[in-house]
Parts: sequence; C-alpha cells; structure tokens
Amino acid sequence: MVAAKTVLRYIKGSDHLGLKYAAPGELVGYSDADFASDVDSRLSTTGYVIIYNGEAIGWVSKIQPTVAVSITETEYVAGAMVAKDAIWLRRLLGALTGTTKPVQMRCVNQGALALMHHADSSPCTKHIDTTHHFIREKVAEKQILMAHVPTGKMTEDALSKLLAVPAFTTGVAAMGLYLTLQTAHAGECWDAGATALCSPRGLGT
Amino acid sequence: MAGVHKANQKEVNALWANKTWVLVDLPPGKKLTETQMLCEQNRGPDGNVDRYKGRLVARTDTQTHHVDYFEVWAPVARYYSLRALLAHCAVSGLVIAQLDVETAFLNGELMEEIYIRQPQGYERSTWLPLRPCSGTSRGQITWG
Repeated sequence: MVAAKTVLRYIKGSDHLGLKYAAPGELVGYSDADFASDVDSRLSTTGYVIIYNGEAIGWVSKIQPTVAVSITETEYVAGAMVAKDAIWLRRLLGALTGTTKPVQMRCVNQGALALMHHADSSPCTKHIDTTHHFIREKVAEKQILMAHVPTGKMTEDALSKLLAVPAFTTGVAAMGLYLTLQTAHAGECWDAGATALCSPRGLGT
Repeated sequence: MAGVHKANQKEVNALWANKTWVLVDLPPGKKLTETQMLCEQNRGPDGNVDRYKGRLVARTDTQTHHVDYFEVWAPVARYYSLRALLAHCAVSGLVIAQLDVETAFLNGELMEEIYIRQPQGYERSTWLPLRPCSGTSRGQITWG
C-alpha cells in the first residue's frame, strides 16, 4: 500500500513533464552504475539513457545480472548492457536515415574505459564473464565510440542513484524532459507518456 | 442478435474476399482443425454495445503441437522504436501517417499445412475443409 501510494505521488509530481523532440543531434548512450546498491544480494544497478535528437528514446534502471567486485567492473557491465540497445538503435536509425556513423557512448569510469579499449587481463578483471566482453568487441569494430564524461555531466545519474534536487533537475532536463505546459511549436513532437523517465527511485523515495 | 450475425457475416465475407483459404476435400490421413465463430461486443462510453466485431478462430486444442503448429508468439511494438521514429520525423520535418489495418492477419502467409472446418452457420456450399492462414495462432506471426 505504501509502495502504491509512492507510485501515485510520483505520477502526480511528474505529470507536467514530457519529452520534446526538436533539436537535431547524434545518437549518444550514457551508461553508469551504482556499485553494490542492493544491500542483500550486493548486486549493482545499471542505469543508462540513450539520447537522440536532444531527448531520451530509451532508458533503463536495472539490477545487474552478476555481482561485480569493483566499481570498474560494474561500469564495464553497465557499458555492455547499454551497448546492446545502442547497437540495435544504430541499425534501426541506419535503416531510417541511411547514416552509418558509430554510436557515441559516455562513461564516467576511466578504468572501465581502459578495459573497453584494450583486451588486457589482470587479476582484478580476469573473472569477468564472457557476455560483458561484448562491449570490447563493439568498440574494436568501431561500432561504438566510447568517451569519458566527468561525473557532473553524466546525464544518466538521475536513473541509478539518489541525487539532490538541483543535480536531478539538471539530469532530467538533459534527457529532453520539459514542461508540457509550454506551447508546442511546429516541428516538435511530444511524448507525454514518457514521463516515466524519471524513476520513482530517483525522486528520493 | 442481428448485430452479431451481421458482424460475423462481414468477417466471413472478408476472409473469402482476401483469398484466405480454398475449399478442398480433406486428404486421407490429414486432421481437421475445428473452428469457432466468435463475436466481440465493443461498448461505448455510455455502457451500451455500439459495435460488433466478428472473429473466426481455429481451435488450437484440436491441433497437435509440432505437427499442426510450431512456435507461438505475439510480436509487439517497442517504445524505443516508436520514439526513435518520432525523434527522426520531428527533426527532419516529416509527416507521420497513422493507419489501422482492419484484416491484418489475412495478409500473412501460412507455412504449415492446415485444414479447418468452415465457419459454422456461415458455410458456402457443402461441408468441406479449408486451408486458412487466418485465425490460427500463427496468423499474427506471419503478419508481424
């Protein structure tokens, strides 16, 4: 009952927000992770958001399938999770627009970035499961362009961790969430149903 | 009940018009799948029935898995695809058209060899089995 009320409060608090599709832009995936966020299982949470033309078209906040032993590993696993969606979307948009550009991806963790770019193995990472090395292959094939982004610029943070109000507001705005009360101009398109973008979790509940 | 009969007849006419099946004799050794004529009632905002929608279904309980049908699933739209399309169209200034395909399943190709009974109460000519690609659980797959 408490949970149900939380959901209703969340809907009431966010029903004025909608996604605005207006600004031309590239396909960019932001991936991040919250290390060992589940207190019982010690599993980490992946959060990612894929932005196209200035607003989010896909997002996830999800417990990772395997236990990660370090923050680097958890970011690496998150990268592999977003890579799967990013590659599929790249193919879809390729069919729609004819573009063959690689997907841009952003990650805050330098260690994970190094792992994605180089097929090194160390005592800290040799146990990582095959499925997660998917990202390394896609980076090597240049289907994905990985780049570093400083913590403050990580659009996705609102999905995977609890944030103070100013940081949260900046995050959701960067995903393309705007007040739907504004007048929609020609050439803009609204997806009010997508207000589910800001998760109840991110609202500090 | 007049509405039900009219809607059912419309559905059966559409099935014939789309060349969904051909009338054949049931070959020896082949099994006949039973069919059932159903009718949906769509209610308006005032709670009264405002539309009847006839539907012919094949009874999967009279079929054998791995003989008469194989995989079964229902393809659904992904919101990722929809949003990607909307984002692309909004920025490129494209016009989006929306349409409803009324008898969508009738346009798929059935891979399995199936013989069904004619819709009961709406038969044409005598009792003869039909080869359909609609109303079976494969219908939505071949269309999707």
